[in-house]
Amino acid sequence: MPGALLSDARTHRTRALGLAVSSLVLVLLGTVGYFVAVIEIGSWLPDLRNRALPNWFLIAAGLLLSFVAVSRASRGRKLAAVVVLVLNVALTGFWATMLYVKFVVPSTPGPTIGARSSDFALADPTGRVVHLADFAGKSLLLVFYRGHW
Amino acid sequence: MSELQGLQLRMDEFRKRGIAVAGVVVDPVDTNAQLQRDAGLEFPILSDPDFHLIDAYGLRHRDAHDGKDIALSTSVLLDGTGVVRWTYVTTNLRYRPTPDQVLAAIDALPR
Repeated sequence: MPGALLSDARTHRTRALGLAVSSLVLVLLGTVGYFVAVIEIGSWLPDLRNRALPNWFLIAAGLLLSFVAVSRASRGRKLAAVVVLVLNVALTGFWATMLYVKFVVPSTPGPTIGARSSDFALADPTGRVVHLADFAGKSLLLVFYRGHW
Repeated sequence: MSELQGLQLRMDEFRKRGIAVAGVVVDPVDTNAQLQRDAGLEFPILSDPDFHLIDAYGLRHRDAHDGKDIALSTSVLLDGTGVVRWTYVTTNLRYRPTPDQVLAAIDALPR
């Protein structure tokens, strides 16, 4: 009976560390995964890039697991579990700051709806100069982007 | 840049609606030719290194990339008479209009 109790406690401890590691994996998937995967596939899934919802689910699950790991860890493993929790919270904070603070751009109204567009004369990739008048009678979607680097 | 690939994926729907598409960027013609080839874009990229159109639309993002000015990611829909009918100016580097938002704006154009 004491032996069984001991092995039970040991399993419990191992589980707490396993939970801590899993929680870190989830948070890393959510945060780092956003930059390596979601931005890349953003062309196909712009909603995923704009809202980052699956990332938030992964991160929330990771943080929850991390709390559980801390509460379940035996005294000897408590510190390790707490370190992982702090790391998870820091990663989440860094990621959220990047996405919602660092990535914010100056706000501008852009061209006025209902106003006539100014004419333009810009070179296309072959060097031919293109004018607004070339599109007369046809709707035109102009997509301004930051650049290719 | 990824927004161009996103548009290319839906090119058929733009074509079906008779909409012309063009990218606008500060990059030189050579860079755009390379990108157009690499990304297989069927619409032109217009080079605006002197910010003529970018400034006319008020879309200059100062000191944005390595201390250089570039354009703010923005989509502008003009009707056949050159009047601005719809815009999407991003407020965050990550945000782009989804093709569905763009197509909805196009479908709402007065005929």
